[in-house]
Amino acid sequence: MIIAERKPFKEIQEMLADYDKILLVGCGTCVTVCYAGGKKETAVLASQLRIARKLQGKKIETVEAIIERQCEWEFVEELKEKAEECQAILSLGCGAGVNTLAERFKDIPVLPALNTRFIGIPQEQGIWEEKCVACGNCILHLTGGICPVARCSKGLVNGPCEGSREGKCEVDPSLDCVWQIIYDRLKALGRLSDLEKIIPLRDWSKSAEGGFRKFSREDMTL
Amino acid sequence: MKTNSNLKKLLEKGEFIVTAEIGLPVSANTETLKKNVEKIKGKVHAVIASDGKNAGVHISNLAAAILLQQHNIEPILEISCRDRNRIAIQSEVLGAASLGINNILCTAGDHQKLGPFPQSKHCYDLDSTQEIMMLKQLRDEKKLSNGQELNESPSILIGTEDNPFSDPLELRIILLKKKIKSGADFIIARPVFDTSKFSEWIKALESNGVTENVPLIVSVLPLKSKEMAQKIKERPGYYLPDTIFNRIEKASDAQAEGIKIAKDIINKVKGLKGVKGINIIAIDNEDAVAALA
Repeated sequence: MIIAERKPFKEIQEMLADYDKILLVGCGTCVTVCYAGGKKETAVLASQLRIARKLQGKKIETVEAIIERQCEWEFVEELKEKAEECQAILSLGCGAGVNTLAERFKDIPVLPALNTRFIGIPQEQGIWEEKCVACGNCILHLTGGICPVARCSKGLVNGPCEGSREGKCEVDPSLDCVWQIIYDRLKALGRLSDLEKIIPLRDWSKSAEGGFRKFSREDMTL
Repeated sequence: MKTNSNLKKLLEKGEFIVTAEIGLPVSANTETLKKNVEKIKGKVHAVIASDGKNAGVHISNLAAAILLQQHNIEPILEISCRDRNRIAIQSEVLGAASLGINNILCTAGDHQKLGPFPQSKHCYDLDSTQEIMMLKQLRDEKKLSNGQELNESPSILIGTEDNPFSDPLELRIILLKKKIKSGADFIIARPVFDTSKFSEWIKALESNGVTENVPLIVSVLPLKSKEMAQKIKERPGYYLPDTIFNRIEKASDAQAEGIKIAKDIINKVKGLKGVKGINIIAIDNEDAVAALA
């Protein structure tokens, strides 16, 4: 899922400085699960904004809405009436959600309340970890299902760098070296021979670095 | 393999190689570097022109390599994968070869978060195994990584690095063998402070046939002070045992003790099968080269 975290309150306040009536839109999917933009977080942020304005001797009117997914037109459509009565929309969705709202509501400014961090999982309660960078060219069959592109600090695909020791990453000793994890898993599976395969130069054209990404499926288009 | 590398010729002759790595200035003024280069001239066979050492800014690797050449010292041009994609690396190798710079050391590079620019973005289009593979193709098949043919290939010698103190050993050996299969012509080992651990590593290399055909140059880092020893001890990628640290800490002349330790290490590793040379890391400690070479 998409992992996000709320922006610092001051930053949100500054981006809303020109508006007195805003629609806060939460999202019922990923950001609800990672406690960044669900119903509760939307209500808390709305209260914070009202209190902060009151302390400044000013007013702000907040309207709240939670939709199932901000990244799908059908759900976003539900916001039409509420959006049209507000000066701006503050999205508590991931970046995809913000973009979808901005594309749908062309005459209304759409602002991000969250920083979208990565594709990952809740590793433990309150701790989230990246697992995939959506490089568009998966090699997980060679690395025991554990992604070095996402989880090696240098994204190395043929093995660890020279700084890895005692299972820890050179960048931050609190991080496990993913190559140790891959090695342990493949050894346990009796598949160390997978590590002996040389992974040639990769095709990054389908990754974020390859330019704007879009794809279509003929069988699905109308 | 066609190479104009003098280092290759010396290795083939069976000469015990001495290389060095010296500090590069964080300045457009290279007067101090020139003085240091003159100090080590005639004492080493080649010098590494490092690439963004410790993820910091210095004069570029290629500028340093040219400066070394101007002082009649054979450069080993380090090209790390951190800051350059395949377009930049191939361009740099062709440019270097056109200037007669024929030794390339392929490295992953220090992560930018460990240096003074932690907010910067890295590249890692390639890892160092892929860099080696690409350069071998450039040299032996006269082809760029996309298959485009060259009318003249660069006559380069391709180096790789490894750390005898990284683990697990089995994984390290798998990786090193991949690098050699991909085209590494020589290996430079990271600094050794613990010769018994190093011996275990080299035995594993030998039993896996790594050192049979690929020469190994072992780095030695003379310590200058207790503060330096402390820094090295804390830096990832280095293994400084307490016995060595204590010797430096207790010494009345830490610099002299550092040289003594380095000499002991050199004497021990020199006799090991597969060790074809030493690399003295003398960054801001260039006088040490004369004492050790």
